[in-house]
Amino acid sequence: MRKQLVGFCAVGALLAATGIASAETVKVGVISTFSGGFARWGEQMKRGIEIYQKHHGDSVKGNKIEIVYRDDTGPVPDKARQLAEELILREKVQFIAGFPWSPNALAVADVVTEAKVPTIIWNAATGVITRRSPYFVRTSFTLPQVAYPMGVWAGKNGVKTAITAITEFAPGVDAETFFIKAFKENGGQVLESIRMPLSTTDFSPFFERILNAKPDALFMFGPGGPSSQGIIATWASRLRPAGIKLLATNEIQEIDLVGVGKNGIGAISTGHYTETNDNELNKRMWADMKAMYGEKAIADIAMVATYDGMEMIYRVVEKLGPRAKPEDIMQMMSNMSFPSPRGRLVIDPKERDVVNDVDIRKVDESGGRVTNVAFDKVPSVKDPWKEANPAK
Amino acid sequence: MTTLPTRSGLAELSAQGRLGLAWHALPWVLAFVVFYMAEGYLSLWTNALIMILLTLSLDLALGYAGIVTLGQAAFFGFGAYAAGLFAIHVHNDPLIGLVTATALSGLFGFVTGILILHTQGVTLLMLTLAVAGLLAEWANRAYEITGGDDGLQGVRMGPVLGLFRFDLYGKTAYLYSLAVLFVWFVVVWRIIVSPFGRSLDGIRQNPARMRAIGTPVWWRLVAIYTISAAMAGTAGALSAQTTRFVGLTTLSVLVSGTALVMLMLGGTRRIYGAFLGATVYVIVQDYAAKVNPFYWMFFIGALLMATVLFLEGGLMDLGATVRKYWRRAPVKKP
Repeated sequence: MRKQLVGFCAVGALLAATGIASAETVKVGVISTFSGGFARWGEQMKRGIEIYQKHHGDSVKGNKIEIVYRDDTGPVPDKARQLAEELILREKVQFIAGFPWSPNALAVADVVTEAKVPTIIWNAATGVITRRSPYFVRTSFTLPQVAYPMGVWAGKNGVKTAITAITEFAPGVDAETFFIKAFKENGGQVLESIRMPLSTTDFSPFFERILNAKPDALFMFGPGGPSSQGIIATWASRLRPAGIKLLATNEIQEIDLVGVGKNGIGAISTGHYTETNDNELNKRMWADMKAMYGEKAIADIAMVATYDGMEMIYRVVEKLGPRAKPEDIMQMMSNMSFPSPRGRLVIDPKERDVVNDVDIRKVDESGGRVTNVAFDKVPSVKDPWKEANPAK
Repeated sequence: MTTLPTRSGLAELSAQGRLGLAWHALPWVLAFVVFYMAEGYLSLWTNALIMILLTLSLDLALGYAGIVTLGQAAFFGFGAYAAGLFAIHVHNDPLIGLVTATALSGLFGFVTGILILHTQGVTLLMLTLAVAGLLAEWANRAYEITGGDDGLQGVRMGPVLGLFRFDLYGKTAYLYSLAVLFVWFVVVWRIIVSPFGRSLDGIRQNPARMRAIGTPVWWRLVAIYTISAAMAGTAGALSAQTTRFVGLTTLSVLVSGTALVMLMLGGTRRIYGAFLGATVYVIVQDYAAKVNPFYWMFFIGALLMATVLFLEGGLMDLGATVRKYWRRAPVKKP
């Protein structure tokens, strides 16, 4: 009788224990842009999440991973901050992720630090971001990381003079600074540095100035989406016939070339993810994406960074369980390294920032698409901004 | 607006009827109920209080004095940047910052008021838009000062009165904003019932006649525009201090438009219209964005259309409108 009772209790306790463990839900708040002219960012991130969950299911060891979406409507830092507070206080999320926009990511730094919520940056690429909060980790790239190699390549490959044209906000200024630094170090000369407001949609006045100055190349930065497409299209119609090269970073993506078509051929860019990457995970992601969203769907940096960011969360929940301490989570995420559609995702533990192989690629026709084809590679680039601004 | 019977809000303010003062205590009692009930939602409600203040400032200029303006964002943003920059470069005490930002916004309103208030109607509307546009463009270009599209980063606020720290849960921010709103509410009340307020009523209805009986119309308009600007500046400063951030959006036409929408939603020239309109708008917006983060704008649009089509005098007229339809209904039957 007594044995039975003990056995009964033990089974009960075991059931209760597993019951508690398996009933947990891990909430991930995603702050991204789902409306307005930049809604593509949010859509690509949402697809990245859905493709990842198709590959790995929506739960880890019985813990459901629930995504809570919030729309920041674009580069609107105050909105992002309000949403972060709301996700933390009301939704009680364990992770925050997303952030197409640097200003938005910078604006939530104080909030996630105070609340100790691990936050994964899925795009925002200004160098300084991960320094602003010990709870930030980044799976995308940094602009200095891609702009610097572009400057080096240009200086070494016959580009003597260049004009830089950027949209003026934190990542643009980063891109300008580090392209010029590398370009000058390699013997190049910058004729003029143009800064355009983020809201610019008509680039012709700026391009008129560039045409008159006749540089060998134009280096551009614009936030991915309509404004970058505008710059690429204007280059294709005005500057390319005059023999002025277009140099850029991650704005030249297959997804942005749709409107330009063959006119975009010849544009040179640096990037951490090239659509034509020949690795298994990349091919699998593309195949599932086409199956889920149709033939017109195109993968981009937002989708890849999201895919990798989800992998981070899944690994954390698998190893540390659904209710780990934020410090432990950050410790684990800062030391990650795993296969990614870009090749491999590696985090620099000291800066909690991503280390990328940077491809140098050219827009070309390949397999019936106008896309990027990599022709050179700079391996394991750490963020040059951090090296130029050592932590105190 | 002109088809409505003219209301000055006096009726409500002097209501000493059955309920009298109890009615006036209601919003403030509710505000305290919210404080104790809405844990986790306080930053949303703080935002509502700030929007009430902004809408009330618009009601003074547009509702009472009839100054057609879409430039209220200029003063809101001006106050926000003033408070933010003051906290970064001068002193981080919230009250000193708030008073400074309010005074500077008032001054800005006074100067621009002198420049543009001799015009009327569409011209005036364009000029208020131009002022807001110029200021927004300046803030965009002055990257070194304002941070441009990155926004004003690094605002650190000291504790209110040296005692109450701004906490993550927004309790301090809420009570602080509520106190400031109450002070401005009393000021607005005094203005509306004063002879000065009555003269604004007259100016809105017939400036020529007011001039004929010796009212200095232009100066009265400049005065109320200045007060309205100072008030909008306070709202902006509150926003900067409670969120510890200022973005370019504080200067966008959208802010002016939203305030106008809130005012129309609640009802113009009804001192509590601003309270009702702003609160309902903020709640609906929050709820819609939660229910559907992808198409939430649709709900806001639908609400506005419904209000404009069916509630001419805004939500404050809900009771009256329902009664009107009620009475009309039997007449329609053959």
